[in-house]
Amino acid sequence: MLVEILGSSGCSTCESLKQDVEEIVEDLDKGEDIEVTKVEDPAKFASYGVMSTPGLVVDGNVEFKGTVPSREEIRSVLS
Amino acid sequence: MFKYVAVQLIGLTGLTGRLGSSLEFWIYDTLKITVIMLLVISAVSFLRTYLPPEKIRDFLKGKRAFVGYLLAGLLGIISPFCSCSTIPLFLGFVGAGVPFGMTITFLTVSPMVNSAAIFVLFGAFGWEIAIAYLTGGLLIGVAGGTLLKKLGLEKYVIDFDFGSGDNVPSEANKDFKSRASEAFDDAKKIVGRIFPYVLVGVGIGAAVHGYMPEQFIRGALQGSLAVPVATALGIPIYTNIMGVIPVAESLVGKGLPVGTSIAFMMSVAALSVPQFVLLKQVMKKQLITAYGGSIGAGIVGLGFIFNAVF
Repeated sequence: MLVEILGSSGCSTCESLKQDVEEIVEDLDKGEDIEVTKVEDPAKFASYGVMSTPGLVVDGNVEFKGTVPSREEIRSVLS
Repeated sequence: MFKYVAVQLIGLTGLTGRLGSSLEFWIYDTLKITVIMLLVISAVSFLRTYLPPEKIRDFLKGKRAFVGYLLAGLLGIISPFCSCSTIPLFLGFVGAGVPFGMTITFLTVSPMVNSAAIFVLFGAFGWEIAIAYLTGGLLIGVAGGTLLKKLGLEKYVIDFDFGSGDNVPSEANKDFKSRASEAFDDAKKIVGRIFPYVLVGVGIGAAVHGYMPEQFIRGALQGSLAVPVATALGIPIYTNIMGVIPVAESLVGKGLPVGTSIAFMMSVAALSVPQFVLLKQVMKKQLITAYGGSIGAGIVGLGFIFNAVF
């Protein structure tokens, strides 16, 4: 599973989403199958149709944008 | 109230004279600006939860001419407080067919006019200046957007595809309470990030307030070149606009003309090197130059007008 965090450098909420996701992935049973990366190129955001950051994309599908989802919400899209 | 806290604190230290009055200014202004920021940013963040970008964009798409430009400018004022979020918005607008001129208006006003800054300016200089700052910034944005469109610079936006994630709602249906608490959390984070700039800015302001001789400004910073020089000086300086207002406030107190101070302030906010580095990801050279040029010219013009009027 590929998890992409969309967020420009300098965006603090994007950074905190990334930390949340990484912590949750570590706790998951199948955590080692999940790759987490941060995408900072705005053209890439646009290609996902995301205009407000942070965004959370799982295997190419936009799950959240413009908001930092709660840990439960993150867990539910990762499992 | 803030004045009282500051005076009491200084009273405790037993400091008097220049150092005492500088420190008092520092504590007073830092408290005042921080509280105003927290209130205004919370309020605006809360309102914004009802205005997801998709809604704004669809609204702008149907608008033509002046009304659309003005609305785009007003949106720039309540836009997020970080240029890192303005650029994805810009691409989203362009990608979904908002007229190019309006997106430029939005992109110009967004860093230059900031809702919290309006209130801090009001506190520092009174309502005439606050309103002049607001309308002046809008004017530069509308004029710049119109001009860049007329010049046909749209082709210098990078090529990109706007994707289909667009139909995912960016804000789930939330109740009042969670919107409010989210907005307040947001505001705390933003204020926390800006706070160091405020502390330094007010510190410089306090030093100017206590130590800079008035003759210095009379001698060095007046005359017709002052406005363009102040604007140019703002380019290499990178800080938050909240950090510049207290410096401007002290300089005006020492006799610097208001227009020159406002020009400096706007230039620091809107013409910064890191901002243009970010823009380079989405615009080609020609467009960045025209964009920067129109903002620079607008700020210089506004500075002259303010100096003539106030």
